[in-house]
Amino acid sequence: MVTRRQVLQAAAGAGLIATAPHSIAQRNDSLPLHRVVFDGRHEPGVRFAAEAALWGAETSDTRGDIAALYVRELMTRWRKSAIAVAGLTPYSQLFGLRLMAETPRLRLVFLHELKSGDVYGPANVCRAPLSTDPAATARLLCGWPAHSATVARRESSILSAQDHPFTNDALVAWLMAPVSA
Amino acid sequence: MMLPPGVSEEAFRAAIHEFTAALGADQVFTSEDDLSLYRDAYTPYRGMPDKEIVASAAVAPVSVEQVQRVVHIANKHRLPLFATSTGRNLGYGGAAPTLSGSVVVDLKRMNRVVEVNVTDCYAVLEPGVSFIELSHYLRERNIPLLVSAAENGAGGPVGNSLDHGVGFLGDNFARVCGIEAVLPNGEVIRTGSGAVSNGKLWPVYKYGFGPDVSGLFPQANFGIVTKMIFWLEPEPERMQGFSVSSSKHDDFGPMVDAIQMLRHKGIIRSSGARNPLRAANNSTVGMRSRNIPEVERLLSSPGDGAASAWDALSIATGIPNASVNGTVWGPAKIVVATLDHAREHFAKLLPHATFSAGTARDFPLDLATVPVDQWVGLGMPNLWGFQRLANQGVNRGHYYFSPLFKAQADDIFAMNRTVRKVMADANEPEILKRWGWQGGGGPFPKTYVLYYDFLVYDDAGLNARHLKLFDRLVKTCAEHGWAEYRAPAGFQDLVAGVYANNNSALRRFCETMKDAVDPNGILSPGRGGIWPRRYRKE
Ligand SMILES: Cc1cc2nc3c(=O)[nH]c(=O)nc-3n(C[C@H](O)[C@H](O)[C@H](O)COP(=O)(O)OP(=O)(O)OC[C@H]3O[C@@H](n4cnc5c(N)ncnc54)[C@H](O)[C@@H]3O)c2cc1C
Repeated sequence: MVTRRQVLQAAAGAGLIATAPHSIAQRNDSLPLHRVVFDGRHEPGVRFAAEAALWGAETSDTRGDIAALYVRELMTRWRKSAIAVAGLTPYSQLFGLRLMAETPRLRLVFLHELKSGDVYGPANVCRAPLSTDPAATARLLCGWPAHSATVARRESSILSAQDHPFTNDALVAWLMAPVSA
Repeated sequence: MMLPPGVSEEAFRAAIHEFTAALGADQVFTSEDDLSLYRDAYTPYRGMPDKEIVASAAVAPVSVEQVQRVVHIANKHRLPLFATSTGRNLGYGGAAPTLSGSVVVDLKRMNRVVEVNVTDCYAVLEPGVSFIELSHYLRERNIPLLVSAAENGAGGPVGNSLDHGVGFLGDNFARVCGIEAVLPNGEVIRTGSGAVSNGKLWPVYKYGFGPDVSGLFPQANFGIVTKMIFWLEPEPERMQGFSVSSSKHDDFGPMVDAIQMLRHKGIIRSSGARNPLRAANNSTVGMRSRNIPEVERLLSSPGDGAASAWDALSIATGIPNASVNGTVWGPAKIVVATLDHAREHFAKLLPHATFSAGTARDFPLDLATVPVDQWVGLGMPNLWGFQRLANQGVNRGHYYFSPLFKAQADDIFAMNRTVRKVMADANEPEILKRWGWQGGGGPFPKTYVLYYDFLVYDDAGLNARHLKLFDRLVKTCAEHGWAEYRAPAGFQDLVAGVYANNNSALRRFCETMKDAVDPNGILSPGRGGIWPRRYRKE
């Protein structure tokens, strides 16, 4: 597990965050978030995690391998209860995790490719305010209102198992949340 | 609303209402969002919505009693069910049923490791336990046992063995010592020694007395399995692989025979055979073609090239013409002695061949020192397989063509010639290039199996052509006596049709039993090519 301090140090060292870190507690009405997952091999991932850490989130670096992260951290936590996990990783890292997240009945309620332009992905990807900025995306996901996961589900079809809207190496921000509550 | 065939909307709604009363509203799924989880993520029918096999609903019971209630309701309304355990049969149909409109009985919530017995090396499992979870359970408790996990660690021992799947220790159904299942009439049966009242031998003696009916449950539709005795393997002190290679084309036959004999004698635990030179241009998933024009020319020439031509090419390129491999495990001293024995054995038989031993892995493993792509081969299941596919550029999934053939050089060559001809005749150069030349491996001790993944594309026309090619491959291989050991959901009839000896006596026998034990035809119609009377096209 990567500590908040390490992420912030890495991000500061790389000149990715200008201001000194100050913790902002998650809003009371925001979705309980277990952790924020990022792939530290990609600069936007580090920036995303640094911002998430500012919001008080625990962060974990997949270093290209979500399998190990699942086995070491998520599996045990999800056995206790379904709790949301957000991330910014290459799209390829999502598939296996999404399968395992089905057991505690978590769903992918947000999926957004981080690239410039305002194309938001296919219609059946859940909609949310658009941002190509990892920091803004982290703010959005860490502050995601608790009721939104359910609302999002009612309003739009969640990405189905067959929808593969992005290429494997596309960098995507995502949120998996329990939706049946 | 998608309805099961032969079921009225009224009956369907009534059944859903009763499922809800029995399981709770949050465990009965009918919305498009929820049902999307029961679509095959790797569907071969991508871009062909009218062909895709989809569920009408799904239910998630948490106990044997709830499974029984589901079965009772299905009988009452003559509603087809389709049971899955972890439901991750990717490459063979995912969580989707065989018959469109079936109600998936999702057993993921029944995920208790009921018991692990260290002395007798077995686990009593519910269907929803995944390989990853079981292996983690053992590690957490420092139990020195290994589970024969598939590369897809998200799958589980129950579902995998019920599709005759294989793990890193080979044939998984061979590890099943007994089954508890809910029969189509709702009764609970225990097979083998589990049938003895207050019996003690269920986990250790398979056959019990009389017919061993455990074999009725895999790739079939005679019951919903709710518990399984799955044999585990004591962690060895050491595991080590080896390979033998030669530049001589004609060494391939004796090498395959020799490696298989070591296997038959129980000296080695797994074996495989390759011809690296013939396979040099393969662009199968995970392989980069070396683009050697002479390889292509020889493979396409009549009789696929003279041995002398292959020998000359091997010397020119430095790529061996024959290679076999095996794995040894046990106490370190025995591993060392076995490798010595294998080395001497091959040196006597083929003095010019090169023997190389792989890295010795000592248990308990320190996973931090093992690259993640080697975990599965050492008994640590994970999700790396999906990352591997992604790294290799597989975006839309795949489905497997998995024929069995004899573990003999003649059969390997003949199978390659046959498949290459079908691919060439179909004018599918891309597929032929990916195939190249395939060797074989042995999760099963006395036969080789081949896993060729047909990739799924966004182009529906291309997918449709590949479906036809798959069909032709199955039928042509059948003419030569080779058959698939397993098939994607949409190919159950095609593959069952290959097992057609004596006017399909086997299928007719299964269907006679099906009609007797499942008169309403509610359990997994069409699975294994077995159709209940009401859906049968006589
Ligand atoms: C990357 C990758 C790697 C893979 N590696 C392997 C491998 O190494 N070995 C291998 O064998 N396969 C492999 N597969 C194929 C497949 O994913 C696995 O076999 C997987 O274990 C099967 O899924 P499952 O365990 O979730 O079984 P399920 O999907 O739960 O079950 C499989 C089938 O068995 C029947 N069934 C399941 N449960 C019950 C029940 N309780 N009662 C009655 N019938 C039931 C159903 O017909 C069901 O469709 C791989 C696939 C991928 C994508």
